[in-house]
Formats: sequence, structure tokens, C-alpha cells
Amino acid sequence: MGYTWNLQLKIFKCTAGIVIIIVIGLAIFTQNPLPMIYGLLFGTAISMLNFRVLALTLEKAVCMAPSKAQVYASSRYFIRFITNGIVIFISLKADYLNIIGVIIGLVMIKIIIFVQNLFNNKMFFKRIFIRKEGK
Amino acid sequence: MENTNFVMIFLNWLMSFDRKALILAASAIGAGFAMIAGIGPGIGQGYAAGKGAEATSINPKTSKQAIMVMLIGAGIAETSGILALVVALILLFGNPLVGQSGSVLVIAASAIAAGISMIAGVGPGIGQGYAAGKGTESTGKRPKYQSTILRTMLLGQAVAQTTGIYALIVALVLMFSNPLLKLL
Repeated sequence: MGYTWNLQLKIFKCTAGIVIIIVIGLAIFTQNPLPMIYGLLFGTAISMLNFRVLALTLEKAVCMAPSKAQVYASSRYFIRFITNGIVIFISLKADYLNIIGVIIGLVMIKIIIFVQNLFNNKMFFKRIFIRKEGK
Repeated sequence: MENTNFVMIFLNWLMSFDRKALILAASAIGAGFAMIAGIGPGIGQGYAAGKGAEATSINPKTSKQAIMVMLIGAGIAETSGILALVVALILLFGNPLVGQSGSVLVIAASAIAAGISMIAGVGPGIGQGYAAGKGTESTGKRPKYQSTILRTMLLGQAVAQTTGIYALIVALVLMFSNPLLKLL
């Protein structure tokens, strides 16, 4: 499955968990939540697939010469860019998908990466409250 | 003298068009400008991949850690491209400006400005890709410090993203709740 499968799995599991919690929250606390839920699920699914494609691209790119890898990664980025464009276009056109839900879904995986890696250390928060002059 | 005032001649010529046509034309220009932001992440991700290949060729033993840092960094670098795409496609397919009342010139200019503001997405895209590349390079050199490097890289990328989000906010304000129309 490649070098980075475990990392991908960790991110996918966390993203799916958060999305399920949001979906349950929407279902309980909002009226007519279906378009938002469909949009969120659609956007998240596409962003997960895009992340998987990115991983495959980069795993392949590191085996190339640096200049070739640059061109390869950039060209593959534009394919993902077009995919995202098609997804947003569909969500704008389809009444049963909420565009805001789709956008949140598309950006969700990036938010999860930030949260997983920046706020996973308790010492980070403890250090904020330690006054330097007190040392 | 009047014949040489080209700005007035141009504005009068613009006003000779239908209101809706003028706003739609401005939206098309705006959407085109917004798409320029897509270049940034492309350059950034390319740079990161190049650095990843370099790190792997220098020290193949550390390639696994380097690729993990690169994957996370490159994934984050895509965000400003998505935001630009959202604004461009809203201008094209879900245009909120066509139905607005007020001066046609202000609305048309706002449509173009919304697109131009999204060009700011080039900066975060390149910057985040650069950070991802440097993170990959340093992980290749010192894989022992992978978690510290990753955290520092992501912190830098999060800060770099802010200007892209400001641009998105300005574009959305211009499109959905234009404060300039209230001043007329």
C-alpha cells in the first residue's frame, strides 16, 4: 500500500469520525439537514480521494530526478484542481447538495491535519502558561 | 476637449450596454482573474516534490519519513487553489451579483475585484509548498527530529494560509454583502 498508508489511514479515520459527529449534530439540531449532510459527505469523500491520489503521486515523484518530479507533481496537481472544479460545479448545479457543506468537506482533511499535528502535545499548552521570567 | 476624455467616452460606452450583460461580463473577467491563484499551489507542490526527490537521492534510508512530511505539507498547500476555485465557480454558475440592485458600475467593478482579490492565493500556495519542500529536506537530513520539523512546518503553513483566507473573505463580502452599495 505504499510508505505512507498508515499516515493516510490515521487521517482518513479521524476525518470520517469528525464528519460523522458533525452529521449527527446536523441531523439533531437543524431543520431540513439533508442537503448539508449530502454536501458534507460528498465533499469529504472527494477530498479523501484527492489526498490518496496526492500520496500516490508523491510516492512516485520521489523516485524521479528532482526536475522531473517537479513537473510531474505540478501536472498531477492540475488534474486534482480540475476534479475539485467539477465537484464544486456539480454542487452549485445540484439542488440536493449544499455548496457550503461541499466546501467544508473539501477543506476538512486540511483542518484535520492541522488539528492532529499542532494540538496533539499537552506540553505545548502547558508551556503557554509558564512565565519565562519565573524560571 | 470633450472628445479626448477617453475615460468618460469609455464609461459612456459601457453604460450603453444592458445592465445584466455588463455584470455578467464583469463576472467572467473576475472568474478568470480568480483562477490565476491556481498557479500558486502548483508551483509549491512541484517544489516540495522536487525537494522530496532530492532528499531521497541524498539519503534513501530516510525517504519514508521525508515522504510523510512532504505528503502532509503538499496536502495543506492545495487549500488556496480550492478557495480560488470556489470564488471563480460561484461567479460563473451561482452569481449573486446579477440580482442585486444599485449602481451597475459598482456591482460590475465588485465582480472583477472579487476575482482579483483571489490572486492573493498565489502567495500562500507557493509559500506553503516552499515550507513543505524545506521540511522534507530537513527531515531527510535529520529524521530523528521528524515530529518537531512537522509541527514547525505546519505552524508556518497555517500562518501562511491566513492571507489566502483574508482574500476569500474580501471576495465573499464583495459578492454577497457589498458595503459599497449601501454608501450610494
